[in-house]
Amino acid sequence: MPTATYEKIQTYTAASAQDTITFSSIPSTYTDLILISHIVPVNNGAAYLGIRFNDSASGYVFGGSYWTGGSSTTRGVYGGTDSQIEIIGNQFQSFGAFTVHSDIFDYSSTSVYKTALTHSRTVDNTSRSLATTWTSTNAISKITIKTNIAACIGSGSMFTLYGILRA
Amino acid sequence: MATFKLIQAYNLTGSANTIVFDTIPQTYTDLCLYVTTYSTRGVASVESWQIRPNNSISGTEQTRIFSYPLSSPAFNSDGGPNELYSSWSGANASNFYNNVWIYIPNYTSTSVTKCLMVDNGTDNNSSEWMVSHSSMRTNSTSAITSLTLSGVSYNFQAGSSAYLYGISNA
Repeated sequence: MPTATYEKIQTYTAASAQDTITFSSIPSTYTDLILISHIVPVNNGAAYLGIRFNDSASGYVFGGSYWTGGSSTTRGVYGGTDSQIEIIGNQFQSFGAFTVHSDIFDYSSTSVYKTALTHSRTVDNTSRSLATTWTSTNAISKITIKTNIAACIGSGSMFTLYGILRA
Repeated sequence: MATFKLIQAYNLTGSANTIVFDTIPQTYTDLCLYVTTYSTRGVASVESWQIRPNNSISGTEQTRIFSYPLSSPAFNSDGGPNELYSSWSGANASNFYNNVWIYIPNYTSTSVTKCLMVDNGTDNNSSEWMVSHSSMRTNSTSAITSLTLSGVSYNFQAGSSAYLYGISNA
């Protein structure tokens, strides 16, 4: 029988509105991680939604593209530094359910910076595709999805962390 | 335990207007669909198809960013119809493939709407191409039990294929 290479580590489904989802004590036995987020926003203020590693609020260097559909179409490329991987921008909670797919490479290494590819797709707000380097050589043992306003991640939102198994 | 499992596969040997994945098991967390379409029309055209969760696009919304063609690439976005511009055919294009990746998380939920991620790339011997990234949301909270791929302006041709995978919640 072939060796399993794609395993679920943990699934979390929000039973009530909240502002933080945490995957802690992530085992270091995988090569890469994939985080799938299906988020039902709650309108509770002007909030941003982002991902942080090991609770770090610095060292995220990114570049990517963004676009917004509809009659007032906008699009472009951008880059810079941030305190998190911003996956949905201001007032995301005013809109409908959206999906985020994140690949996190070589997360358990203690000798290289970490790279993540994050694709956020929303019909109503600005969709983004980002490549981010977290300029830390620390192994990632904790991932936090967090808003800056309380209770914007609605009931029924689901987050699943998968591990790509080290052969 | 392996969690990325093939649910159903199609490899077309003739033309078909629809490809249907029905009775999708409700035992996975997410779905992932890989589609390759093939066109032989040979005229300048945009050949689109729809993905219909539970065979309905009523109330669905979509936005996308796309770029084409090679001669004068444009970078556009729109809130287009509920169709995937799955194949872009420029003048004199005769044979081209289009590859599409679709991810559907939380498809068994009966309490929230669903949001599909779609990445699409088309190439015709490097003379014409189109890439797009899309999101599509249903307005229904029903669990997705079937997926219908439906040609809008052209049928799926022999050589097209579609593979549906389930990501296990075991």
